Amino acid sequence: MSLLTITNLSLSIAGMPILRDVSLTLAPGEVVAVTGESGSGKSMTALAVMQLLPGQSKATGKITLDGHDMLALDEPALCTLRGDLAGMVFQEPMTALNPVQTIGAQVAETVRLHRPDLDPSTQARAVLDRVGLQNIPLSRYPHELSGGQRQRVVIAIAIACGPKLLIADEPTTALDVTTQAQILTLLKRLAAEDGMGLLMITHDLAVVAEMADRIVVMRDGEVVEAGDTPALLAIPQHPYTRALLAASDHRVTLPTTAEQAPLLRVQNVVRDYKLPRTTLFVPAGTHRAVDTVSFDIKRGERVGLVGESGCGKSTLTRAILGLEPVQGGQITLDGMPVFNAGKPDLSVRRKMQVVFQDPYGSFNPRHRVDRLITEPFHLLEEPPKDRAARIADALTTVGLSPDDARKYPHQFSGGQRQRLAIARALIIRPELVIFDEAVSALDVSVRAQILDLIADLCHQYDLTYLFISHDLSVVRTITERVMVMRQGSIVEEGETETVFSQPRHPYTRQLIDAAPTLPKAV
Amino acid sequence: MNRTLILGGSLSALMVIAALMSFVWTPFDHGAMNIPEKLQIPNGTHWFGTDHFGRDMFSMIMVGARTSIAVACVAVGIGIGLGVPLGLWAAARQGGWVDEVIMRGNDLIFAFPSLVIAILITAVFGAGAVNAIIAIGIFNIPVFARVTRGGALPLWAREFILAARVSGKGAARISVEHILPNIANLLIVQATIQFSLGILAEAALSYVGLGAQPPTPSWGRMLADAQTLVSIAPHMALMPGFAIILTVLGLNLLGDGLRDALDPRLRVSRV
Repeated sequence: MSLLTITNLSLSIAGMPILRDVSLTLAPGEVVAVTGESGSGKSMTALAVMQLLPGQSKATGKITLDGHDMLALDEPALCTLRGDLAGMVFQEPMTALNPVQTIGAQVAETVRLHRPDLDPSTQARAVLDRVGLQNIPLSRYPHELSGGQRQRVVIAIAIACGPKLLIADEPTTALDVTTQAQILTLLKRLAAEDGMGLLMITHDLAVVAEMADRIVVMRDGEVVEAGDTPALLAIPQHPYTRALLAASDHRVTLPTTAEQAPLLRVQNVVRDYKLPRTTLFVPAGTHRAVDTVSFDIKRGERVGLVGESGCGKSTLTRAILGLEPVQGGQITLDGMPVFNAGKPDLSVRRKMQVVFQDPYGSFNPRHRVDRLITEPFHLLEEPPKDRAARIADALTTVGLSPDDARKYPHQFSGGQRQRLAIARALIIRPELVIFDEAVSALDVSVRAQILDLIADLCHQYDLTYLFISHDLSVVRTITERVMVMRQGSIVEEGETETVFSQPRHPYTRQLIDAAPTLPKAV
Repeated sequence: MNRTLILGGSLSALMVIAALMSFVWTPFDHGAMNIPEKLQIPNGTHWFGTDHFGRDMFSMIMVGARTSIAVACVAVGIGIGLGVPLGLWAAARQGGWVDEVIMRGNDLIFAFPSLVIAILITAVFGAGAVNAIIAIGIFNIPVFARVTRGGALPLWAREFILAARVSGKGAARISVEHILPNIANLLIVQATIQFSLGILAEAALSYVGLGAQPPTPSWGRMLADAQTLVSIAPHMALMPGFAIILTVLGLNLLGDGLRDALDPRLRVSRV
């Protein structure tokens, strides 16, 4: 007898078909992963089970959860089931928790609603202990916890009433690799201990490879393949699954470059942030985000910088870009200081461009593409005469059409926008490009395309770049030299392959071990 | 097109047309007294009736619209012209002393009850439309400064602003090129609200005799004239009252509709 059965579920929202004939089953104690790229309908499937669909949605088919026909139940009946029979863990723990309530109150709330027989605060304590927060008092607020701890609280809320089904929607996507590994272990342990069915929604095949019993691959609202994890990963049947697996493990080849003179020099850089004053008469403290960091990037070199959130990567990026002053040391590009007393020095700036992480946030939504990607022309002494030709050239280089110049950014997909961002960075042929988590927000197949594009540009233009990322597998393929950053300092530096195969620093080893990997293809 | 925009636009347009038309044509001379025909209820000749001097209410409301629009327009203009640049400047220097000075200056103006200060200004410098405009305008400055700064601050943290800074653009240029277009809808909505508040404020000042002086007709003074006669000639209060209500309603609907229509993201998704 299966716990959850979805039969031929079709869903449309405001007339737009979202899901088509989705069927899957989940037995008690089983871990099933639903995977696919953005827009595949994996989250909508999860929301359909909980009947938390947005307005104007129409679902047909059948969803049976522990004998209840979820599509036939009315809202009050659903309310008693949600949280009691099925719990849910969301992607972003900061937004899934109410910032003005203590974590104890939020866990107790579920208990109070569904289990009047239990004492809410005792149960809250017990559940928080179970998720590994023994040392955290109930009176803490979400902002006082780290990202991993917050996600543990969200999990505690989901399991507070001992549900039979736990749905986890991208539970580790917003977390660092080391935290991700801990949360995955926790979820697996809880499911095994309670005999809970666990439905994992994730875009990352590597994450589920180690913990799911079965995998369901979705694309465009349809299930393309489902099967036992080892079999599916070893011999994928559907071409899409094969493509997905290949893309998650995508490798590119970079051209070799000759030894050259240093282009970017970072010497003993220190960056302090002022903390807000806590008391009136004590001077405000400082937080050292970057602590005496030194490195060189030679012309034509492709360097990676890895580290977890809060390690100072972004701060260092801003300092290199000359957007913020440093409190010690010096950053020079081609011998010239990048920061010039708050006044941007155009002759230095024009040698450097950046590609940001968020393909949605890095363009002014009110400007058209031609205006957006030519923004760096501002750095030139006079705007080039062949503006239209340069725009067409830049768009073609990144695999877009010159006709796209008159479109607005929201008319492009995430991957296309990232191409636009690269076009903008390259349009004035800078000597150094900084990729700040440039592929982290993209789907695996799109990510593979962008990596190919970058490798391709390396062959064409002899690109020099600093590739900042938390994703080790990406850094491994796209860089020749890598630096590992932790708490503001660089703890290890060396040839990418050497660092990955023979890490010297314990932290590097920890990072590499924590990163989920796909089993080697047979 | 959405209905809000059409309804709001029509009501606002109606008032503007009435005001413009009053320059060339009104049914009667708005100042001409005709005592025998006083206090007539609305009828075929005098569409909105007549007041206690026998003046045609419809003509007075048409000419009164002129005063209301002029006062509100200039007052909002003062608010935008000074408030928006101040707000952009404060946002660009967030946390610095410029920001502090501008925002604390705003607080200072906010600390005074606006209508009381408007009364004070007109009492000191004399009652009249120009002083009413200045008084209302001054209180629009902090409103726009604050809305602008509030809208601009989250934008400054966005990556496209960083990208513009990497392109070597200075704060002033970024404010005009990137920040302003992205907060335009905020400002338009705020402007329509301030415009309607300006009309209300002008009516209030005229009501207490500190706005436009006779013989210039004004909706507020028409209300003041009507108050002693409201039991025998209610139409004298109702007509200018309706004019004010419909105008304010129309402007608010217009602002709402414009906000939806001006956003390019919404524009394409609707197509």
